[in-house]
Amino acid sequence: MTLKFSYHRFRSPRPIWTLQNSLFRPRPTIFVTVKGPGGAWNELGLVDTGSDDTVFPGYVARIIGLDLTQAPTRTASGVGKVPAVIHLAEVILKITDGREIREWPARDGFTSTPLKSPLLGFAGFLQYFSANFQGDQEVLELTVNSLYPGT
Amino acid sequence: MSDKNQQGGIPDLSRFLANRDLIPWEKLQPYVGQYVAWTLDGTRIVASAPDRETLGLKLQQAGFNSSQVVHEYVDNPELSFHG
Repeated sequence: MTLKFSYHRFRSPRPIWTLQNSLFRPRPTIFVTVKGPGGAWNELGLVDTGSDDTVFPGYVARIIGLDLTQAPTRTASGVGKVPAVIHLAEVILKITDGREIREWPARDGFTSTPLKSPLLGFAGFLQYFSANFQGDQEVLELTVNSLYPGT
Repeated sequence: MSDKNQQGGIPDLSRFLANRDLIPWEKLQPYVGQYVAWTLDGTRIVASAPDRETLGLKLQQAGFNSSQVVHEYVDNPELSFHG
């Protein structure tokens, strides 16, 4: 029932003062597959409790065969306060920690705003899990909750 | 190559991350600011480009489809991320 992910440790060429001079910056990035009617896309996505939606780059929509021309849209803003348009669509998300696989239908966003990585936010992702971010262990545990609609 | 021929299913995550994390930073440094495509076992980068569209074209030319690689943006480690 619980998937366990180690934070991805990004190597820094210099000690990071805010992390007690660690040479690694840990981030809760996990492997995610998004599937549409025409294909699938694998990428390391950032589990982001500050993101209202789960958002992928617009380019991914084309690759997995989504037609967003009639898709509903909403405007979103990030920490930089620059608004961005996201197109909404139904997809299938898959994650695994190497031991357990979870797959569920989700309503996600796609944006033409450049994203470094997909944002795995509340709608479509975190709403379906109880998330335990263990800062000392640099581990994220995701346990499906009563809203989880998948397998 | 088995990775290239894998269809549909989810790659072995534990193998991908374990192998990918063995790559020394010095080898990733040339890719900073680039989007890269890894083999499904995380042992090597098969293509890179400054944007996803160009990377997609390179992958297509090399005979890969999007489900046969793992995409990642190689971030500048000196920059902190504030989502």
